[in-house]
Amino acid sequence: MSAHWLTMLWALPAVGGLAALAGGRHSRWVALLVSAGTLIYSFSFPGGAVISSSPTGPFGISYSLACDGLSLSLCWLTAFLTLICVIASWKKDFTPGYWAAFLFLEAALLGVFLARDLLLFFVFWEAVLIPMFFIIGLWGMEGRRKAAMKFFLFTFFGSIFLLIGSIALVTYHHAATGIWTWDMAVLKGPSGRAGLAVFAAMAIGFAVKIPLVPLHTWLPDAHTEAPAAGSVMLAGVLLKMGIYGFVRILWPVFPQLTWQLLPWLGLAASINVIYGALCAMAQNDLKRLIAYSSVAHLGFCLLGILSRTPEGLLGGSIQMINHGLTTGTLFLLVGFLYDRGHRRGLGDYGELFRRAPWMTFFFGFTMLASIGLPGLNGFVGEFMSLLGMARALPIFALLGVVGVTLAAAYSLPAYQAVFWDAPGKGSVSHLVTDLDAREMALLSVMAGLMLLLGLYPGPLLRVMQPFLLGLVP
Amino acid sequence: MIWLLRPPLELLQPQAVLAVGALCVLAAGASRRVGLGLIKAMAGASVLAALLMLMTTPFWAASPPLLSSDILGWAFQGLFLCAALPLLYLMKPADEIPPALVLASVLGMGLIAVSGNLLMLFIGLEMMSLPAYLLVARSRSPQALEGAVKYFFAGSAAGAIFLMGMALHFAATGALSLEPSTDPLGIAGAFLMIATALFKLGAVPLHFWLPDVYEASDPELTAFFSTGLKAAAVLFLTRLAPLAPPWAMAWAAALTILFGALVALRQKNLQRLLAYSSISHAGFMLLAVAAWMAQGRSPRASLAVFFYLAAYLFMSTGTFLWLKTEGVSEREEMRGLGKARPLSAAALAVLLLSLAGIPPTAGFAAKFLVFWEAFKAGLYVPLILAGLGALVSLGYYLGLIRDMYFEEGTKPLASAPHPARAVVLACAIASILLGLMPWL
Repeated sequence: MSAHWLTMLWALPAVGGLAALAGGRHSRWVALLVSAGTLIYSFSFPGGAVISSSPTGPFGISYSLACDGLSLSLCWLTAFLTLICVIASWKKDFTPGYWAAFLFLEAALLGVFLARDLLLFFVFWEAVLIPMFFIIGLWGMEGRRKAAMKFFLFTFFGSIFLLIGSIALVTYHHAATGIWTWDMAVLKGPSGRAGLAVFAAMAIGFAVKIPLVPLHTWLPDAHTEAPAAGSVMLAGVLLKMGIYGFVRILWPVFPQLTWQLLPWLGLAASINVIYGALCAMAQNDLKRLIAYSSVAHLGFCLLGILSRTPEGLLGGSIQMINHGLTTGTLFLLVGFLYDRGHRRGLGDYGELFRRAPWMTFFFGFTMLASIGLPGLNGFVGEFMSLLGMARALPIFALLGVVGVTLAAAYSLPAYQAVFWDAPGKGSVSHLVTDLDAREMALLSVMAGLMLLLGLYPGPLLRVMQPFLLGLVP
Repeated sequence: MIWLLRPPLELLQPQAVLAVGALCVLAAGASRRVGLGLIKAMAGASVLAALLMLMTTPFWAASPPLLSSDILGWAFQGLFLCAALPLLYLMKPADEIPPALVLASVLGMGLIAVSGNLLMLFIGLEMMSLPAYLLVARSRSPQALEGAVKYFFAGSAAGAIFLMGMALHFAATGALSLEPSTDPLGIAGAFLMIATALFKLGAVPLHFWLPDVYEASDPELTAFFSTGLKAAAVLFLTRLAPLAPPWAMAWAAALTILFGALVALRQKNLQRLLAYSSISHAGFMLLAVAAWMAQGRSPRASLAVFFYLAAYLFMSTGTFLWLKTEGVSEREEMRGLGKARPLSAAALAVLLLSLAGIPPTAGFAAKFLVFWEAFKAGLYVPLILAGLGALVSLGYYLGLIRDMYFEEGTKPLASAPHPARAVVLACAIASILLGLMPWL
């Protein structure tokens, strides 16, 4: 397949973004059509391995894209969530820039997942920051300015290490083989202390994005202050970039080293699971709670892919998709709630089940999926990840199980406080109306997907399989 | 092929054109009938003619001992001439003197580019600097005279230090050529001469004159200083390269980057902020030169040096001219510009992202090449410090974007947009294009 077909996948939303900027009153329609078109187009690629590459350019840098099952499923997630975000923000009175920013964000994210050249990957990786910076800073909540700066600066801090690490990797590769190349599939990391340094530099870049504790402090602010749709993209897709970087780049490039470092990385992932859950328990702000729960969930993804067993790799990867769906839906629901009550605190609501039964249903459903109730999607990913880890290093699987329990401990009380308990003083529950048809339709699609992936994840797993199974030692 | 000067002087052809141009400008000014617009046009035409002449001059020609050139010097001459064009286009001179001064200064830079020994280098240096002092003195800001005096005394001292170093070098080696010497006297001489180059570049700790001068000058002149004069200083440094140890340069580079970025964070005046940011950028140029020297002056590393300056030419010119076209001087006035002037705010945002080194802009490609060369040269610790400096500098570039877009405007904008907006827009577009296609 020619490279142009893959180029079109990311260029379509990019051009659409320019059109939306120029679109004036019609830009939301542009955004809707382009994001829907991109989603449909992303399904036109067969589920197996599609590779396309252009000849090597100067210094081994080339514009080359590749798309296999793992990239493809993340592209689907990106395109799907962008469409959801556009529809979810439909009624709001946003300037053309808002719609354009989402399309540019989509273009950059698709580029990250499609890039095969390491430098191209980095360029897209950084380009993601610009639209997200504006989404948080222009259309966010009260603390948006600070949160936007924090988000950009933190991620840039990681990016510098990622860039220096990539440069080092390529230079060492040249020293060993005599070939200049930036091709991710070809590059092999150096051994010894140099390898450790390169690995650490690149891992810091990815860890900021995941985010691994203690590099996570940008996340609660960014997620809380972003507009609802921005939080959906942040949690749903942006965090996955870090895990994707680990799987796509670090695992194949440093096959030995990742194995040797397993105890340390596993410890970091377990800390993420436990620490994220404990922080979530302490939150009084619904959005912040979900943000911290993301920290915990991404820890599960990392545990799975760290194990380098077939179950773990597949489970960690499908957990990326699952987390995108469930946490995306939770942020959407909180956004809908905020639109009505203009509060996000747990104590600001109560007994919502009377006034908003459908919202209560969807929130409960998604919370259960997020906790990992068997039959819903979260269970599949978490179970497989933990199974994989149990075969590699059982102690971390045990810590992961503790994390699952903690997930119930922070989710259910929050759900109960908002939807079932009697409202306290100053409650704004009376302002809340139930979901309208558009919101119902959105949430039904999301809930349907959660159920589908929970009951029958086979097809998606088969799509992801080829690349991931190649990583099993 | 056009031959104005016969070999072995053909390297001086662009300089000859500039000299003729400067004399014509002065002569035209002396007769009262020629308007200022025409004089500016003459100056611009002579720069373009010099560019044309540069294209047709073989850069490999050399006539030792006075003249010699290489591809780097040849390419840099193009940069000098290009840096002078926006200044000549935008300056509003009271009489014919400033355009002639600009031409003379560019002539001096060209002499540095073709110099083959220390004497020629010194002549080029002074030829470039003297008009610069006068141009600062003729700026419109109230601090112009103060800035010019500071610049003159500091610059003359630097020139004297260079002469001193040259004398010591001559005493040690008995020659004015650029051969390194192991004699302590010769090392001391090299040290002094390098110090002069670092002074002209504005590297820490020899940067003290730079913020005052940049703040005192008109924005278009500052743009010229930060691009043309900086490029000339870098070239000057590369000419002295055989005399200096790379690791010392790399550490000076890292310090310069961090210092410039940290101080710029606190600035309220935009021109001063950009002055400190230009110090930080000078550090990156210095790092590129250090990497070039450490790798035995490899052509690929010289590409990194040149590309950084070429990218910086667009970014810096665009940013300083933006200040002029929008009539903004304090940081507070930036608030709310994103809504009030969408197009020009977007242009500035692109330029600032490019200065910060965010892909897909020219600034990223430039920083990336420098980082790569520095890594290949084994300058690991300065490289990491430079990366942290880039992070700090993002703080103020992004802060400016935040002020423009996320804050509400406090007061309405007075001035109407300036006609030179086209230049700013062109610079912004060039920053993106160079970033997307650096091989252009």
